[in-house]
Amino acid sequence: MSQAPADVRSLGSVPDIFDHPRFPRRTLVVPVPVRVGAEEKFANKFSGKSATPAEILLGCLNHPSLRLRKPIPLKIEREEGHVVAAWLELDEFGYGAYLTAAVEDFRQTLVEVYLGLEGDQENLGPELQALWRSLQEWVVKK
Amino acid sequence: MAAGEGTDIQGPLPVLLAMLVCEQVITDKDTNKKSLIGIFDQLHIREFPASFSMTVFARIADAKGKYSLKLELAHLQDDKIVEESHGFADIENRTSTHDLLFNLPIVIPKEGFYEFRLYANNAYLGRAAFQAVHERGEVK
Repeated sequence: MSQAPADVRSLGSVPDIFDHPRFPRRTLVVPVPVRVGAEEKFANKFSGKSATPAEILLGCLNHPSLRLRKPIPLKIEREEGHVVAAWLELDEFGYGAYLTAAVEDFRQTLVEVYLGLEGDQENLGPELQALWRSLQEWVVKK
Repeated sequence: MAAGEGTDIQGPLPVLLAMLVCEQVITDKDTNKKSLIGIFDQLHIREFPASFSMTVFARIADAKGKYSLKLELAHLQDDKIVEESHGFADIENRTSTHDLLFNLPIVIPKEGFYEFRLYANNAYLGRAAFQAVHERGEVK
């Protein structure tokens, strides 16, 4: 597992308030480290890191009955003022004004493709059958 | 990037059920129920940069194992990461939902649209957005 960056310090331990006999421990307070030099960043305003990386792993479809078996690698590109999220392996795309809008569009596209293929199994040609088989390696219905 | 590359996948991919930004979360000690106080999607600020304490609440399901968590705050118009925070979670019971609370001291450098982006083991799960508005008149 990757370690937190070296230039962070912890805010300290979080009191354990979840040990209650009637209720299972199911709340995780994430002890968020604060970067040393926050005062400098206050002056500098931005870390300078781009909010649109070249690649992103999609880990969740946000659909009530579909989930991912493994994260989908998306290639991210800027084209004429909008962002494209492309899954090159299966040639599926999403578009949006910024990164997460493109990813959301990709999610919807993927769900529509999956449900469309699932509902039309008897009429699928060889290419769509291959696409359906590939999709099932990544997406599973709950 | 190949699937799983750069990740430390030890369990299933979590499903994000909800993600909200609020002023604080109060947990009842007797019932372990949580109350989200001051849920917002717009901040009116008279002077930038401005410092705030806020909480990001996320509820996940279908998680089991160890997860490296990352929360990014992005300014959308400038396409820049303003803040990046890291945490860890070790989840034992896959059948329960789990709540993640990120208590954050945040510096808002300028007006515009912002969003928090949540990652588990480097895989993007979802986001919560808000707008920082420059309040030029008297705040009522």
